[in-house]
Amino acid sequence: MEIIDYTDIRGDNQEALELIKNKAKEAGIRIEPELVFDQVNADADAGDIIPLCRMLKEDKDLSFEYIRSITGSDFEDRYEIVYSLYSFSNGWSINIKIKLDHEKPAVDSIIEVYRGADWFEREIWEMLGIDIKGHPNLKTLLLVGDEDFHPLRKSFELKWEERKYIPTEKFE
Amino acid sequence: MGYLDGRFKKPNIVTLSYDKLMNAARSRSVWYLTFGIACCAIEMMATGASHYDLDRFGMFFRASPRQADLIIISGWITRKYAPVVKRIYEQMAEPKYVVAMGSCAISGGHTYDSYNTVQGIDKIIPVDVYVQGCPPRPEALYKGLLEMKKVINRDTIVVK
Amino acid sequence: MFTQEFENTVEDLPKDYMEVNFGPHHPSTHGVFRFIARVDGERIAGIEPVVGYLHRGVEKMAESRTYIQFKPLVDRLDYTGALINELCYCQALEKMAGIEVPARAQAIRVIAAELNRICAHLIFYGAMGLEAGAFTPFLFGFAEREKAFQLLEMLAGGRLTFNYITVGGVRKDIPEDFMKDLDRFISTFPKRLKVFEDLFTGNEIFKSRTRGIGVISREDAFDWAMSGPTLRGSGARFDIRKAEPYSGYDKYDFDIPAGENGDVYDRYLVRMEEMRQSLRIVEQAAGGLPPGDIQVKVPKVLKLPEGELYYRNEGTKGEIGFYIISDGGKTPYRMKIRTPSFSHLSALDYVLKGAYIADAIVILGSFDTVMGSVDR
Repeated sequence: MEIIDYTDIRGDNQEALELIKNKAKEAGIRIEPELVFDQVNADADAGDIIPLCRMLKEDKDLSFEYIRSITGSDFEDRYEIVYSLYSFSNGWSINIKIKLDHEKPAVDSIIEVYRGADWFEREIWEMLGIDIKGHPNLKTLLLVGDEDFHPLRKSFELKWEERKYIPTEKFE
Repeated sequence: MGYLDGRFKKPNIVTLSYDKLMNAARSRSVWYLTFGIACCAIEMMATGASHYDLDRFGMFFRASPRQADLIIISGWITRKYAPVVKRIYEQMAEPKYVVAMGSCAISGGHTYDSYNTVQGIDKIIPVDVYVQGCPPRPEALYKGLLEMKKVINRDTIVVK
Repeated sequence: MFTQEFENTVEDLPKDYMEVNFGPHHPSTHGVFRFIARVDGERIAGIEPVVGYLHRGVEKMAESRTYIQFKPLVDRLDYTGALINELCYCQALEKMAGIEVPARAQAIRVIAAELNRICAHLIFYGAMGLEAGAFTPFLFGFAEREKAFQLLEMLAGGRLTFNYITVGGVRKDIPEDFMKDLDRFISTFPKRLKVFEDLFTGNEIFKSRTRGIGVISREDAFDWAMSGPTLRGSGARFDIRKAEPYSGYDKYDFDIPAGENGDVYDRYLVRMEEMRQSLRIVEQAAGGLPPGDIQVKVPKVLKLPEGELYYRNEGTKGEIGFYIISDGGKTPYRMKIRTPSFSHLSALDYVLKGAYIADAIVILGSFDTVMGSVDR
């Protein structure tokens, strides 16, 4: 393969904002982008996430080929997930935020659009308890698997106490 | 040769206690297991490499637990990894020794209030020498490993 | 000699799969990583990686410590290049709080970060020799690394987890005999690098073990979120130091190497060339150090305004990012750490399909993972 040079590309996030607004209006997806700390932060609906990511990846002018990270966090009355994407060809970055219900949070998996979202979604599932629908391999990744709490939820408090070693018999 | 040279006029027998002979031989050739876990493992590798050399003390790394005498625990132990450490310790052949390197292996270190770590390796396996630091300098690890000689010299075959 | 045609080829024979466990304790230098491989003879049909042996919950611990108290834990994420992690974290806090760093501190930060990158790539050189079956690169690499490490010890006062870069500048100014020793290092290191390359790079055995192994195409590398030297080996000349410059990197003149084939040999060559470019940056930064302060005044308990920010840097293995959500208090509300080794390991199943068992170790070595940053 030949080498493509990306060193001279400087992206202007203001024009990315205009372009994304127009394209989303054409496709009928609700999105509200704004410019914060020189990056595009956008609010979207939880049901729209797969068509939105597909549009951002496959459109020739936008071409966001790279998913940087998926962050989940627990606010008291809702859960929020932020998808960070980056475009190599244009030098633009975008953070898409969706809000989920606090009682039974669930979201579709974007693994068909970006294969690299695999382990990010597994980590969100086990740390926060958000159900990822359509993921082929939802198993424990970082924890042991016999805990009955989700560590990153605000209802679990971390404090120091004199602990004995609790042996695990679960795996192996 | 050396100490015994030129002292005797006819051939004779040297008497020595078995303990002294075996301990002198064992303490000068302690082979340690490659068991690096986290940041302290890089300092252990640097101690074994060419600038600070452990090979001149007779210490060389072996990969299999059956061929090693010493295990250096270098890093924090989590609940998922603790059964593995215990199993490897049990697979080593007697006599075996343990050095806890770094503050995470001694008492939890910077992970003191974590939900997933064991606060100190001496809750699982018996430790002989503790080496303090985060990470300990190679010179500190030398001092700890040379203290092992005092520990080994206390071994005896007498049944108590 | 054999002129008859065989009726069945190897692919027609019935397959009998066996499961082989590459356990968490193994004589490789990458740390505690376990994978279970389904093999058919010597070829791997699929693997299932098991991680989490080093998970301590750093992101949860961040929520009960103040911003400055959390800084020593950032060192211990990617412990081969600790100063670069600190640089990313401190710059994220400075961007959110609106603090300007003086020019002298920026230049000293660049010197420290690039020296640390050289140390980390020398560890890769040593480990790559061990993966391919040679022992001498390990001793050569660590001997050379000690020289750069002693320079950093003169600057920062400690080894391996330096804790030198603070919010608003650096902790101490450079000592008096630092520049003399740095000049001596700059003049002798290229000759040593040439010795390393003559020993190992042109070696026939090494080339036949690494050429054409573990090929990743450019589209796959983008899709699996790879970054750093692993991405550059697959034909994308991209570096965050050039695309979004920080801490004065746009003043220095350096090249970005890239590879054409996307195999293990290209990733190795990319890292060897990066060491030369890092030395170039150190030479330029040390040649023109501006006078001035090294630290701005920062309140003792730092409070960030409300908001969210994703900030990233070019680490030694790839892209390190911090996503900080702050609610205006003393402790962060949510601190998400994005590390390069996490994404690289998730692609291991795809890359290892059809490889031999012996090649699996070499491919894992070329990704250059650090398990402390996968499990956090």
